[in-house]
Amino acid sequence: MLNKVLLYFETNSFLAHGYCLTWRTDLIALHAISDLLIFASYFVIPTAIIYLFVKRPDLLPQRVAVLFSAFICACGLTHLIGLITLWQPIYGFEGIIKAGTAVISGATAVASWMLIPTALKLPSSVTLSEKNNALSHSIREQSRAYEELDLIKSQLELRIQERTRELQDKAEALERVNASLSQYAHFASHDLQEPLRKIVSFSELALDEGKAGGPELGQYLETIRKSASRARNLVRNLLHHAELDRYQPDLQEISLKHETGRALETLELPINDRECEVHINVPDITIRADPTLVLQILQNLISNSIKYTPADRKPVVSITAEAEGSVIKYVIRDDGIGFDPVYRDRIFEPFARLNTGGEFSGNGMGLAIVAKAAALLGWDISVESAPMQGTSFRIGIPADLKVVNGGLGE
Amino acid sequence: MKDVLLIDDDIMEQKLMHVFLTRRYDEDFELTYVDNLDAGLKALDDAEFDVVFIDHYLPPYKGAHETYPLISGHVRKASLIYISSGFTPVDRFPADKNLGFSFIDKFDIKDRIMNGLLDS
Repeated sequence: MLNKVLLYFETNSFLAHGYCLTWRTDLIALHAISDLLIFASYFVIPTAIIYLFVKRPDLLPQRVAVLFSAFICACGLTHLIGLITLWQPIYGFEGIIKAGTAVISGATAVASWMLIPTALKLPSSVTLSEKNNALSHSIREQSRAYEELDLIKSQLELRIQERTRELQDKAEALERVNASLSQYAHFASHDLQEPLRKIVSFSELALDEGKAGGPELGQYLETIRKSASRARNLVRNLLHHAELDRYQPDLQEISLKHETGRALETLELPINDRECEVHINVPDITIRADPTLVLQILQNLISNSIKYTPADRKPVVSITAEAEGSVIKYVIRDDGIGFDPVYRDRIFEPFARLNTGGEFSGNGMGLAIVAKAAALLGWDISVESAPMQGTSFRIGIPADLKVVNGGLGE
Repeated sequence: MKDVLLIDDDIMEQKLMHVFLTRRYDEDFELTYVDNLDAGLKALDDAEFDVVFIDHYLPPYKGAHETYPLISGHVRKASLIYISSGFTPVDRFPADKNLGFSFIDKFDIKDRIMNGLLDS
């Protein structure tokens, strides 16, 4: 057996392939160079396949790479042996190599057909390009969607912040309103109890005085009457002030001059009693306003000017109006007792009283009503004063409420 | 002899206080009346008093929280009593009894004086 195997490596009984080619140099060289180049190439190609497999193992299965590489190497070997047999007759060995190559070639041929279905399923470059384009488009769409989502998210966050701020503002406003209402109720309660207490206290004194036949009974009864009257006025003013909260102004074209005259007519009694000197310089300006509210404002301000002038002096009240730019300035000035300008903001608050002494007693609601009525009309009101130097109430009437030639305008 | 200072913008309070003090102390008292805080501070600087009654809502102030800082340095040994009609807990500012003043409802002044408010 061993002898039979060794026989395949026996060369003595054969002639080299060169003899067949009669040792023609050109033919020998042609075969030798061709076989050498084919052998070299067949070893370079599997190196490329193995290199590709190592770098991109996803492109082809390992067994395919190995099989095709082995097939090409085996083919290369046959050419190498062919080159050797030009000079050495190793035809047995060449046969063994060819047999091995045949086996590997057969396996590769089978494998190549087995690969066909898988290979056919591989997308073409066109398909891949289309899919790539579709993927790029999808990615762009997704990016755009993310951008829109980010925009919506930021808008939503902004909206939430705005809403939160609005709610906070409303909560703070409500808190202020609550505090204001609480203070209002507090002062209302106090100011209403004050005359009631006087009525109770002086009633007791009056009863005692009546029983004893004392001389002060009349004075006590007069105090009771004044207290009751004060309580009635306060309740009336409180209601009046409260009603303004839901009052709907009825805007009409009215003459500022006419309304001034109307307010003075309603105050004829105190004006005559105090021998009041009233200077009027109000041009015939027509404005659009609620006459009831205008009358309330003017009545209260003129009445204040008379009330807060010491009894030993004749009140001097000056009423003027003029257009200043986009505003009509309406000013009521007196030479009364005035007040410390420190309390300028306080004077329009409900129940605010800045002056002492029965001579100047008020219930602190008149200017609060004025402020509320002015706000309803969109009028701006301010005050300037100094102790014993009089007071000036300045009303700013927006010019767009002025009527020119029967229509609204500057 | 009780020296009493009354600071109240309503002059009728003087009448009432005078009647209440007369009923309790006959003529053994002296009542000084002023209608504003400046006059009250001047009176306190000029003379000593046993008791100072001051209107809680003395114009132009809004309550004890505004007038107490102004008057507290002038009252010396006098008892400082804030008076008002219909006190509520809100009025009682500041709510510290150690500050040396008290609140009395005007409805209760007569009874409190008759029960010896000023005797201690």
